[in-house]
Amino acid sequence: MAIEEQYQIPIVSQVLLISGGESLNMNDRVYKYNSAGTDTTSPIFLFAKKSPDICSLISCSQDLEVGEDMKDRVESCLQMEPNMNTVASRTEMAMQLCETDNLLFHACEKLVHDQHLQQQGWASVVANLEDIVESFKNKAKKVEILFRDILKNKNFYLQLLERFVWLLFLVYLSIFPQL
Amino acid sequence: MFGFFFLFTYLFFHSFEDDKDILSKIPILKGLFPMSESYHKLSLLEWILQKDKGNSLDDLYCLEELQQYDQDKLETLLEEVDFSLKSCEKSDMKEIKGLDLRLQTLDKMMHEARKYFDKQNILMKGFSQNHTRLTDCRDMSILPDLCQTHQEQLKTMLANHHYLYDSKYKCLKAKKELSENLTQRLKWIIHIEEQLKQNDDKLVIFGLRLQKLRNKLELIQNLHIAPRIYLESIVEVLRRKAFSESFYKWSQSVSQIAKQMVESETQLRQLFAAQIENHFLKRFFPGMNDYPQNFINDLVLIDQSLPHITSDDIDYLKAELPDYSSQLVVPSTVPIPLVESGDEVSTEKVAGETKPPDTNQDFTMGTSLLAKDITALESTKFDLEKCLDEKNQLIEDLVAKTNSLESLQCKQKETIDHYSQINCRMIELFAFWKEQFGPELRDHISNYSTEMSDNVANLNGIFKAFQQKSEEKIATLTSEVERLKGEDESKRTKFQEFSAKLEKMIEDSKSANEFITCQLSEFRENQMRCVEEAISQAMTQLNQRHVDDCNSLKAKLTEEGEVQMRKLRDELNQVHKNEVDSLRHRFKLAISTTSIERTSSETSLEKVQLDIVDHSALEKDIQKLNTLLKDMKSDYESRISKLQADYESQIASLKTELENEKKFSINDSLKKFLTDNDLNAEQIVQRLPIHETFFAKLSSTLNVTDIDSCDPAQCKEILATVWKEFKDTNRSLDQLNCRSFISIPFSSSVSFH
Repeated sequence: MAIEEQYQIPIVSQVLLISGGESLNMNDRVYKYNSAGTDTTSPIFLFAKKSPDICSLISCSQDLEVGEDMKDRVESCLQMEPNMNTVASRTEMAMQLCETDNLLFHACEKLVHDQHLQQQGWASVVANLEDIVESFKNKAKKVEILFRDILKNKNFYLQLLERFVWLLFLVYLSIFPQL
Repeated sequence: MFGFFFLFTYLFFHSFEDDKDILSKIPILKGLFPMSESYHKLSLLEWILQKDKGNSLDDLYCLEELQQYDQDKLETLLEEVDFSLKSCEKSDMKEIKGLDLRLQTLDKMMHEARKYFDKQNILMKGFSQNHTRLTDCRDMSILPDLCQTHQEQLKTMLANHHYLYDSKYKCLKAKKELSENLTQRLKWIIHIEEQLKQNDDKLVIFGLRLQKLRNKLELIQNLHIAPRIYLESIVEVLRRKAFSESFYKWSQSVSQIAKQMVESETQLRQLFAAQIENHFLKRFFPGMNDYPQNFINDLVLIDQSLPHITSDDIDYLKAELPDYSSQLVVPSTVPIPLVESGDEVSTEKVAGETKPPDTNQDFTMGTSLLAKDITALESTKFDLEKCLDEKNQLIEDLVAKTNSLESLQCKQKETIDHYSQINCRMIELFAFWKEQFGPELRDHISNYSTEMSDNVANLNGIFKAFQQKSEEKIATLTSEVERLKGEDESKRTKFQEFSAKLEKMIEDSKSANEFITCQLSEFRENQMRCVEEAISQAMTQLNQRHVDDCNSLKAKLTEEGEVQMRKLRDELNQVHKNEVDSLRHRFKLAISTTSIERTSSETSLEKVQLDIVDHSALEKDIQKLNTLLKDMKSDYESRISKLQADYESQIASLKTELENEKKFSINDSLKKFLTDNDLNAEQIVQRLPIHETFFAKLSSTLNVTDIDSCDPAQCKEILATVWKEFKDTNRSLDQLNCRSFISIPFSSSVSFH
């Protein structure tokens, strides 16, 4: 539910997976799944079925104009005459540059980390799929065995049933002797 | 509709066996009903219908359903399954090719970005540092150069900034692409999984229906074979009952025989073992300790909970179902070899009374001998009885013989009479002939008659002799018989007396044996009591002695230890105090002199700093020395505490050893301990001069050199020498330690034996 609030994805179309491909049950508690969400090595992945566009979530908070702005300011700084003020203002400029670079750098790191996680998430999806396929195969095998077994003895069963038909008629007869 | 069916059945009835009809005919036996239900006459079919009122038998009819399922259907199903599985297998959708490479390049880029970022940071710091310095110094002359450098640095910073910005843009783009890719794949996954789910549902429904069909078919099959199984089970129950009866009879007889044999054999062997057990000839006869094991243990009875069916039930069923009489034949059980009980049992000649093993061997011997005697006597008695029987038989034979003889005698008497009659007649005849016929005839006849009379006389004589002899024989035989009878009686009486005597003896010996055993046990008890008392007394005495000795030793040791420790402590403390005070005083003086002076030269900061460094170095060295001295003091104190602890541990160990041991030599232990003490004292005494020399050296060096007028170099030299001397002392101390370790095993395992 908290996820719904934060990301506006309705609960029905949420799918939670952990890194082995196991899917989490809605009502289960987290501790039931082995080491899920405890540290950075085993995150819980959230998928939204029928999402309109996930991409739109990412690209909101970008400010592409910052770079240009900085360039102008730096150039203006460089024009200054050599005096105390210039030194002060240049140091300030440097500090600002550094700050923005800090922001940039951390944003980059986050993006790369996100992509790593996306890769992991994908791997878990694939694992989940493979598990489903396995169980499906098993079921199909069982049904096949059952079917073949019945087919093998079909003739025998048909004989039995044909006799049985007469039994039923006789039962009816015995019940309704006047017929 | 029913008419139509009726027609069908009429046509085909006689060629089919109707399972239901059969079932309706077969009655359920009384014995098969569980106890709780009351018995009423039911057929199998009625019973089935009664038990399962919920469903009707007609529901089992599933011919049409069965016919639905055939090979084609199976194949289509499998095809669908395969198709959906194949569509899952698309490996290009599952694996994101190139993602690893992409992520690697991204990581590399991040690495580079980090480097740039760090550079930016450094430059920024440089800027700020310069700025602060400028504000502090207010030196305008550096401005042009500074601004120049600043310009260059700013340009590089801008370039770095651009680089970082680009890298961020790249990251964004990469993530966007990846996300799009992933959404595509996720859509595919969703599609696949939906397909799978549909197929899965189909499969599940299919499986359930098949399972139901299979269950129905199984039920029908069971119904079909129900009559056969019913009858076979009844027959089987009877067969098993017959089998278990005969089997248990046989096995019980076998087990009884085996038990008897084993028991008798074990008793004999035990008797023998009691005899030979404590005898020196035992070594000739090894392996005499084997005893036979139980051949058959208690029997486990099976077939106890079978239903109560008898052969009457079988007959009843045969009457009810004449068609199945062939199935209702109980096969005969396998013949089991019967063993006659009593055949193999050995006629046991009574074993005597088995006495329990006593300490007194003679009694065992005596009693076993007695037993042997009794057995021998019994055997002789038996023999005697046999002899008596034989003799009786002889007597009877003799009697019979005498009877026969008597009869012979009678016969002989008759013959004699007969002959005498003949004789008389002959005489009459001769007389007649004499009168009738002539003298010749007379002569002849007289001859004949004389001959005849001679013959007759002979015969008479013979007969008489024979008679005599026979009479004699009869007399002798009768006398013998009487004699034997008398002997027999006498022997019988003797034997009875003897057996009475034996019994008496046995009783006497029994009572004597009991009496002796009582006495022996009493004696043993007395002895044990005495021994125990003695032991306890001795123990108490020893314990008291121990305690006294312990206390005395303890007191002595503690006193001595304390005294020595006190001495040492006082000495060391004094020495230390003196030296430390002197050093402190001197160093205070030195520090006070140096602190007044200050270099007032306008040298560069570096040189100023060096002077400060020198000062601080000196101070440091002095502090070092202080700390060294403190360390040494603490070292000494720790050593003292160690010694104390060692003493205490020694005392504790001594205590424990005294308590454990019974004998010890006090003098030896004391000597050893004192020597240890002395050695320790020696150790410390050895070390003291070394320390004293060190302190003396220190004081001498400090005295010689006048700290007021010293250069840093000289100070350094002094410090070097001091340090060297300190190292030397440490080395010598270590040497001492090594020596001490070798010479004095300073452990607490002092033995008192």
